[in-house]
Parts: sequence; C-alpha cells; structure tokens
Amino acid sequence: MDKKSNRILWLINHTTLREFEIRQLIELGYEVFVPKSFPYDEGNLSASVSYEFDSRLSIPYSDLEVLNTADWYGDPNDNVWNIANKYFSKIFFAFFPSQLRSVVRNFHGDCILRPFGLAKGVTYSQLIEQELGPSFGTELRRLGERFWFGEAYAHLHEIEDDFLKKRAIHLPVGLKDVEIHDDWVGDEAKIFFVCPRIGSSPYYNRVYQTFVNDFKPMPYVIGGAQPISVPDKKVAGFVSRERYDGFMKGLRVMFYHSQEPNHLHYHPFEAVRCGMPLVFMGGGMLDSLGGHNLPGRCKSIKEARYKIERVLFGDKKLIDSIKNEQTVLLDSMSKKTCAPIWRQGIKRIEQVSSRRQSFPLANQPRIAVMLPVAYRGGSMRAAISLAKMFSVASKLSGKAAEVIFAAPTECLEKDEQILDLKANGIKVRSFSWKKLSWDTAKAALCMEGCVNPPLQQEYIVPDDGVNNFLDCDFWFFISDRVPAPLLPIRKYGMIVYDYLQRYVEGFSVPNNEQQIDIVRRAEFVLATTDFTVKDLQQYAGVEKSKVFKVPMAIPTMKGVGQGGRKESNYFLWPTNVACHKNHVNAMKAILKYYESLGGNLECRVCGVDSQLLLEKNVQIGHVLEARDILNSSQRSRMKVQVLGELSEDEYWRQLRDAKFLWHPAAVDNGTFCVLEAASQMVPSLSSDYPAMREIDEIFGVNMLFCDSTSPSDMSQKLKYMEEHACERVKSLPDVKSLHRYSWESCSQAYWEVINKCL
Amino acid sequence: MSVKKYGVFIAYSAVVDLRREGLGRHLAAFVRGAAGRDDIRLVLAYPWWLQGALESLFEEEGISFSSFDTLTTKKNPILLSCYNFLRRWKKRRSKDGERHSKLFDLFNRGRSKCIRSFVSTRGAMGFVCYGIACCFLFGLPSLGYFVKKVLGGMKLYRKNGLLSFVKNKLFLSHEELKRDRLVSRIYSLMEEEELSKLVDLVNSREDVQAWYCPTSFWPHFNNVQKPKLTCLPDVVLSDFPIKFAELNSRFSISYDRVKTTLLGGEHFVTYSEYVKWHTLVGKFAHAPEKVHVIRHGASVLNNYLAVDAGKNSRAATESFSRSLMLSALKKSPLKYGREFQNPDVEFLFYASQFRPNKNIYTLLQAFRLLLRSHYRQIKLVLTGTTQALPELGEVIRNLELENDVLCLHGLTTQELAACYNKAQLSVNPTLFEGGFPFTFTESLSVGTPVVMSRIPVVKECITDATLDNVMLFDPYDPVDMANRILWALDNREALFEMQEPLYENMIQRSWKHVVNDHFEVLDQIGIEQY
Repeated sequence: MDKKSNRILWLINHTTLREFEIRQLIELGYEVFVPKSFPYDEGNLSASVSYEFDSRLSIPYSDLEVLNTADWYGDPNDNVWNIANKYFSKIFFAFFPSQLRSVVRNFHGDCILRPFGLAKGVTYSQLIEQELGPSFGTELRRLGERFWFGEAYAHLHEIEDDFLKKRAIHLPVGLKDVEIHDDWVGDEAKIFFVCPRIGSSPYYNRVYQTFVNDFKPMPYVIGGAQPISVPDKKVAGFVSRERYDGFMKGLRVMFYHSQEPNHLHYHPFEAVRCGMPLVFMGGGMLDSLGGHNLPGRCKSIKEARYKIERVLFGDKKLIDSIKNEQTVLLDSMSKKTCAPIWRQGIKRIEQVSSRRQSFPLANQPRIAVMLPVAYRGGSMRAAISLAKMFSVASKLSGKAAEVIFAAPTECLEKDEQILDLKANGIKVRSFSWKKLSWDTAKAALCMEGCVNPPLQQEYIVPDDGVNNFLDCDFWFFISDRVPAPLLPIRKYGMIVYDYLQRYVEGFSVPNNEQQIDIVRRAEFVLATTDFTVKDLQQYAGVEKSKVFKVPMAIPTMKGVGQGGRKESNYFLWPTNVACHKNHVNAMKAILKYYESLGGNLECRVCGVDSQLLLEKNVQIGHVLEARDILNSSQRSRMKVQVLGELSEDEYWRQLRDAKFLWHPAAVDNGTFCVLEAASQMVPSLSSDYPAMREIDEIFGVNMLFCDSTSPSDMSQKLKYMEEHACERVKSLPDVKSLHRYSWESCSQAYWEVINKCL
Repeated sequence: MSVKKYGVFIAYSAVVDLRREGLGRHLAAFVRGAAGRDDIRLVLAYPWWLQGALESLFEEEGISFSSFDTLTTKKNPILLSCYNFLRRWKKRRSKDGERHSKLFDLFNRGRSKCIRSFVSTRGAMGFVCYGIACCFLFGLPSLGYFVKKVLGGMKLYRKNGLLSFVKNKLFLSHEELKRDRLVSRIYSLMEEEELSKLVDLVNSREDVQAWYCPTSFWPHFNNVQKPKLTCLPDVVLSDFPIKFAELNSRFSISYDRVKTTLLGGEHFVTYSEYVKWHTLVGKFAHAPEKVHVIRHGASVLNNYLAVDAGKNSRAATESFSRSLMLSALKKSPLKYGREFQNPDVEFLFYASQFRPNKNIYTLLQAFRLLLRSHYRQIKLVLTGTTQALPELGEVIRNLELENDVLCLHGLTTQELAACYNKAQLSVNPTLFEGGFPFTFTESLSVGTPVVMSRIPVVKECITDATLDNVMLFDPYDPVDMANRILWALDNREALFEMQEPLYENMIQRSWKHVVNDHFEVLDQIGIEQY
C-alpha cells in the first residue's frame, strides 16, 4: 500500500463510534484523520473532538493545520479538498446532507457513507433526494464503484433503492469494550429511561410522552442530553460522565422502548456492560442480536410494566435471569465479532479500488445559460456576458466547459449580439417552455433514475426540440422568471437581479410564490448587490450558504476612451414601460424643469418599448398618467423626444453625445447605463436607492443623486446637471479603472461558484 | 474433441415476429456461428410461446433446428391461448373492418330502397309488407340500445358495472388490447410465472458452461446460477427520459426491467466503449473488467443490388436500382410522393426509425437551411413514420417541408439498398447509438459517402483527425450540420475516397468474428467461475 492509499478521512465525531472504528482502521494499517470541529446541533449530541490520531499522520504539518481548521460538515473550500485528494484515498462520513454533497462533488477516492439506520418507513434513498434534490441521485450514482453504502447493520440496504443495495458493504457498529464490569448496585428503585432531545425533536417528544403515559405511577429518571430544558423534574438533562455512570450503577432497571427495525442506541449496551438489568420491547433490532427468548424482552407494554414492577420490588430471580442472559447482546458488538467483518469489508473496498480503471471518456462539462423569458435590452446583454464569462473563465481554469446560450426564439431572431457569442465559440439554441403532465413527468424522472419523483400536478421543461437540454450538465438561468414549476431533472443555478414586487406597489409578478420556490431549489443563487443578497435571504428565504455575491460586471463598453463627442444639447433617459421606472414622477420633474426652471436641454428617451410612452392606444395606468402630465405642457411635449428601442450602435452614439444620463427609476438592482455613460465620459444623475449607491461606491462614478419620490428635487437636479455637467465629467473614473469590472475581469468570480457544481 | 455447451436465454413476448426484429437477426447469426463450430453446441432456452416464431425465423435464415439443443417450457398456459385467440380475432376484425363497412353500405342501400317502395306503393299488401320491413330495418340499429336500457332498468347494466367492464374489454381494438393496463398486468403475471419455470429448467442443465442473454429486458436471467453474460445494446430511455416519457409514460416500466437486469447482472457485453463506461460502469457501478466490448460486424448492402449481366452489369444494376427507387417512393404516405416520377431525384438519405434519440428535428432544421438559405435543390428521404413520433410530423408541416421531406416507411432491404445507392449523401444525425452506426458501411457499400454526428460511439471508430473534420458535425448545431452536408455534397467523390480505407477495414469484421468473440467471453467467464 502506498502512503496515500494508507490514509483515511473519518469525518465523524461520534465519541463511542470513534473509540471502536478508528482502532479497527489503525489495526488494519491506516492513518486516520478526524475533524476537529462539528456543528453544535441536534445531530451531534454525542460528538466530541479528538487530536489523538494526528500524530500518526505522515502529512506535512501545514497541510494538517488546514484540514484541522476546515468545516467538514459544511462545504470545505477547494484548498481543503486539494489537500484531501492529495493525501487521502478514502473518506468515511455519516449522513449529513451538505457533507454528502460536498464529498460527492469534491473527493476523488472511495466515498464510504456510514448509515446507522433511520426511523421505520424512512429510507436513505428517499432522504438523499428529498434533501439534495432528485438530480443529486444521478450525481451519486455516477460515483459508481467509488461509492459504498457502509451499513452499520447488515440489513439496512434491504429497503433502499437498487443502487444503494448494490453498493452495500457491512461495517458493523462495535464497542471498544464489551467486558461485563458488573458495577451495578441498583439500590435506587427507579427506572432509567434514556430519551434525549425531548423539547426539540418531535420524534423523541412522542417517545417521552408515551413512556410517561405508560409508566407514570412508577419512579423513574430520564437521561439523555436536552438542548431545550424540559419542565419535568424527572428529566435529568445533560449530566457529566460520572453522574451518568452513577445512574447506571445506582438505578434499578433500564427500559429500552425502541421497536425501530433499523436503528439502535448505544445505551442498552452500556447498561448490559454495567450489569444493569435491561427490560426492552421486542420487535426491534435487539431481537436480531439476542433472539426472542431473553428474559428482559417484552411483547407488550403490559408485560414490560409487570417485569419492571417485579424488578423494582427486588425480584432477585428475575433480576438474575435478565442479567445473566442479556450478555449475549454484547456479542454482536464485540471486537471478536466485528473485527473480521471490518477486515473483510475494507479488503473488498481495497480490491475494487486497486483494480479500478480510470474513466477513459471524460466529457467536457456542458453548461446551458438560459434566458427564461424573451427579454431584450439589459437582461439580454447581461445574459450574453454571463455566457461569455463562463466560457472564458472555464478555459482559463483548464476545465474548458462548453457553454450553450439558450433563449426563446423571438430573442434570437433579431439580436445582433448573438454573432458576438458565436464568435466566442458559444453555441446558440432557441427553446420554448413545454408543459408535462404528471404521469409524463414521473416517467421521465424515473427513467432519469430518480427514486421518489416529486408530485406536482404539472411541470415545465425547456424544449429545444432535441433532448430538452439534458445533454448539458448544468442549467444556469438569467433571472428567476421561470414561468411554472421546473422539472427537477437537472441541477441548476441562477442570477437574481431584484425583487421589485417587494418595493413597488402595483408591480405584480405572476406566480410569485412559484418563482420563489424555483429560487429556493437552485444549487446556488448569484446576486450582484448587497441589496439583492439581502432580499434573497429576507424575502425569498433562500438558505444563506446558497447565496453568492459576485462582482457587477460591465457587459460591454463600446468605444471606450474614444472621445468623438459633439457639443450636445440633450440628456438621455433610458427606460422601459415597467412601473418601477417611475415615469409619473419623472414626467412631473420634466414639467417643472421646463416650465418653472427654464430647462434648456432636450430630453431623449430610449429603451425597449419606450415608444409606448407616447402611443395613444396604450392603456397602461402609469403610462397613461405620465403621458397626460407630459401632454399638459406644450413646451415640455416639444422638448421630450422618444427614440424607442435603438440598435446597439445608435444607442452608443446617443449616449456618447449626451450631456448627461438620467436614471429616475424608483428602485431596482442598479443599472449599468451609468457605467456605460461613464465609459463615454458622460456623467449621470440617478435616483437615490441602495443599489445605485453601491454602484457609485464600487465604480467611483460620482453620480449626482436625487430623490425619486420628489419631482421637485428631481427637476432641480436636472437643472443643476444642465449647468454643471461639464464640471462633473472631471470627477468620472478613468477608463482603466472601469475596465477592472469588465466581464472578462470578473469572470473568475462567477466561474468559481458554478465550478463547484460541475 | 470435447464439445462445450453454451446456453442462449431468450424470452421475447408471445406476439413478436422475430423475422422483423434486429434481435432476431442477431440470434440467427449467433446460432449460425455456433453451428459452424465443432467444439461448441448451443442450447436455446425459451418459453414455449416462441416456438412458432423461432421456427419461422430459422426457416427464413436456413438454419436447422437440429443444429442446436432446445430447452423449453412445453405448452402454453391456457390464459395465453385465450389471449392469442382474442388477439387473432381482433386482428381479423380490424381486417374485416372494410368488409363490414361494405355490408353496412349494402344494408343502408336496401333500407333506402325499402322506404322508397313503401312511400310509393299502391297495393295494400305491398304497403303492409314494406311497412313491416321498414320497421324492422329501422329498428334493428336501435335494438342494442334498447337491450342496454332494459338491462340498465333491471340494474344488470351499469356504466361502471361488471357487464359494462366485460363489454369494454371484449370490444377493445387490437392496438388497445396491447396497451390495456389490466391485460398487460395479467400478461406480466403469466410471463413472470413462465419465465421462472424456464429459469428452473435452465438451472437444471449442469452440462451448460455459461449462459448468454441477447438483451437486457429480462430480469429473470439474473436468476440463472451458472456464469451468465448479458448483452446491453444501450439504455437509450435514460438518456432521453423526457422525450420518451412524452411518447408514452409506460416506457418507465421497460426502463425498470432493464434497470433490474443491469443491477443484478454479472458479466456484460456492449457494442461500444461508451456504453461500457458511461452506462454500465458510470451509472450502474459495474466493474470495468466485467464488461466486454464486442463491436458489430459490418453490414453491407451491395449484394442486394448487384445484377450479374456480364458486360452490362453496371447498367443493369443502375436500372434495377432506379426501379427499386420508384417502388420505394410508392411507400410515401402522401400522394405527392407516391406519384413522384423521377427516380433520379437528388436527395439526402437517413435510414432510421423515428425515435427521440435519432435527432431528426435538427436534421430538419439543417435541411431547411440548405433549402432556404443555401438554395440547394435537394430532397430529404427518411425511412421512419411520423406515427411513431407525431411531433415530427408537426415540425415537417410547420416548416412547410411536406413535399421535400419524404418519409418512406416499411422499405424492403432491397429498396433500402437502392435508396442508399441513389442518394447524393447519407446523413446520420443521431445523438446516441449503442454502437458505431451501420449507416457508414451500408452506405459506402453501395457507393454513397456519409456524414455523421460527432458522438462518442462514432469518435471511438473515427480516430483520424482529417476524417473527423470532413465527415463529422455537432449534432446539436443545425448550422454545423448544414455546412458539413454542403461540403460533402460539393466534394462527394473526395469524401468517398477518404472514407474508403476505413470502410475496407471495417468490412473485414464479419458477424462470424462477432459470434466468436462472444464465445471467447463465455469461455473466459466459464473458466473464472471454476
């Protein structure tokens, strides 16, 4: 065995398990690393940290330090995984979903899941898909022979899906010490019942209530850690080891309730080891260890009460018979029984590992960047930038992903930027959304390998006419506007720009709830401002660890630094007809600017659908109101020129020649227009809201801010800009500093997030 | 010389015609291969219901039943005989449909004549007789309705009652009968029982060294105790789950069977490294050394066209090919195609059933570009039927290509050969195949060059970078596909010459080699066991 195949990461902190299992591994010749921290949560009440095994590890101290400080239960960073892959060949881990995901995606050696059994009716196959999504099952299966279902009890695989069944290997739970100490005195005539987490786990709360109902008149002490205190004097809560041992020695009898077919606790074995009589319910796992004839076994609660009463009254004959015969339970946990099975299991893992051939057909990862709605303008530009970013950054990282840009057909027919994509080697596909009925969706998921297909009535899938983008490993959506529940057949991420519906009254989002659901189910969500990051957590309720802030990347900066400006007499107002663009207040401001303040500059309005602002037959409430305001002043009407949607070149020409850019929107995720303007040495006047403040701070654009709720303030600032725009040009950032935020420069940050999911 | 015995386990459904199935031909090749060897004797294990289908297959293939041993369940369950009777009856009924319709027309005409006579009769006797006849003829069609009402009134006939249920089942059409859930369920149970018995028989044969199963649809094969080798052509359902589920959600049942077979199997044969690694090792976690790649033998079609006419052979072959082409055109579902008069029409050809993985959609998009952006006056000839994939019919209609895309379904092998021969170019846009597509050798064998998808199974065989560049395209990109076709059309001869050496190399591998490779693997796994 070489050094690497000699090392194991044992990512479990359970004290009793560690005492037994690590010794097994050491005896088999392995060096073992154990984590030095664990989350102080419900699942780790029996956990502790040990440095005992570090001295045996023959890896550089600096690397060991990195491993020791890593968060193994969350998502260790790439550096940690690099070290793990460099020095270790196997990893043991218990069922913690985020840990499982991280191991599957990052570790290159043998991955041994240690299942200790679940409540009746629950399987690991179900839980994996429930917790990590149906597409994770496919990822797990792709590990093939590298994955092992290292079951603690030999029958656990029987209720699992075929893959886990096939990958099952028995690594029994053992006890370091099974020698009978017979410390038990039993002078306190009380029952010892161990039931942790009464106040925090509905399952254990039910166990507690049942126990109290069944044994109420009898004296008892309830042991087990209680993270939330229980208003019952008989519940001891967390006690020191000495006190716990004291219970074992002093209390008369232990009652073990569990009839779970797949899970067993340690404390009944501790009782047996201590010589304490154990009265337990039959039908559970103890039956498989001790058979059906142990004197402490009970078929019913009535029988249990009867036996316990006799023990409490000091029936020596019964006590002796229970004590004498229950020792058989420890046999299955003894080193003598378990060690050969461990040896055999590890040998099998080694054998498979040694003959494993490398996968000769490694595929280039394929990412689909999808625009879910037929957006044009800014969203389209951002989508195209993102596709280019993934493509460029992946090549730089050496992974060279193939990026497919996908958008509804109507977007692709017109947009000249598509040519830019093709020039960058990005394939372009059109698609439409297709509805799938429940039975079709279910069948599709089953054939994809999903064990428990979810049960929505209807799903949608992107349809490219070929294979629904299933040739792509990952789907990345530009915005959350996926129009209906998405079939969970591929993992996906998205970038979310804003939650305007939270701030702008009357801004309704159809299927808001369902869109939030789609965001929550994403592998990760990107946002470019702190404001949206906060909204994702506070409004959409997305788990913090899934939200990533990435730098705001400027999509395009045409003709940067190439002056050519003429003396202009207009300012440019890029907008569309969405109500958050604040048209009513903007028109009121324009009116004041021309009528009261004698404004001289022309106002040129451009953007997707902006021509609708003046069209008579448009019946959108806020557009009507804005138009009426404008039409009420002849002078203003003459000064406002609506250009509509411009071609790229014309947009840049209009921008370059403007005196300044006006952004009077109420709120959004910030607009790149001000950066585009800055790149052309055009200053900006913007509404004051968090995202724009962030942009101003990051890019140093030195915008002038106005209050979007006050037409008066807006008009005064317009007048101010008319008079001082030229001076403000001097305070604009130089082009080089803006270039730091070009899409090329920012691409690495985006790639790092998506790369973790490939 | 000692004779080794190998078993072949087959369990096709009771209604299959093996002569029409690729798997049938595979089986025939296997049996013929064994018959040609003195050291090997095959034992064919099959349920009794396949006896007839096997007899027909081997008769057509010229293979004697005495060249192998058989192991079968003997006799069919009574239920299966009932099912077969019902099926034959249904089939006859649907064939008789036309005749029934003629009878109905006759009945209507008679009824009409009768009423005319009744209204125009002048004699009292005639009036009474015609009157009674009219009452009878008009009342007859209502009789069924009347009986139903009476039974309903007597509470014997309810919409969801037993009588209604029986009536519904009896009057299912032939196709409905095949799809009916209850019938399928009962059939599955029967099949389950019969195949268990067959496996018992198989396990009783100590003299057989190893068993081979030519497909992965029969999980029962996993219960064979001797060393076993399962053939996995592909698991296409799992690579195109949405498209197949849209076609029929019950495909998931077939997938479950394959999945069970694969998870419980021992040794496997695939036709490509891709299926080995991507599917069996990658998805089903099998050890690579237990998966054996045995590539197809070459499939050639030139012998179906070659006419021996001495000096005039070439002209005669050409003439024969033209006549076959005309006969193929007659198989068009549209009058336009059926009456097309020019057998020398220039066309692109793709011989394939219509299935989601065949990527006809992108081929249509590429063809549209050729026709409407590049103005190439060419047709596209396909061999599938849009009934198998209705959305394709819609695409053809939406793109207004009905008269340029001809779907010639049900071609004979000779007609197929003629289509390949007459085509300007063969195009294979497939997204997934279990092995290297037959298109290549079939097309080259009759002198037509080929362009194909750049997919893993193709890349396994096209290792030359120059050939890759000239003959492969990205199957997801209609523009790339169209460009490749354009180049190939303009450089037809050059492409043919470049492909010829590979073709010559490929045709060296016959089905005999394939069968012998299988026996080698069976030998190997048989030895491993002991």
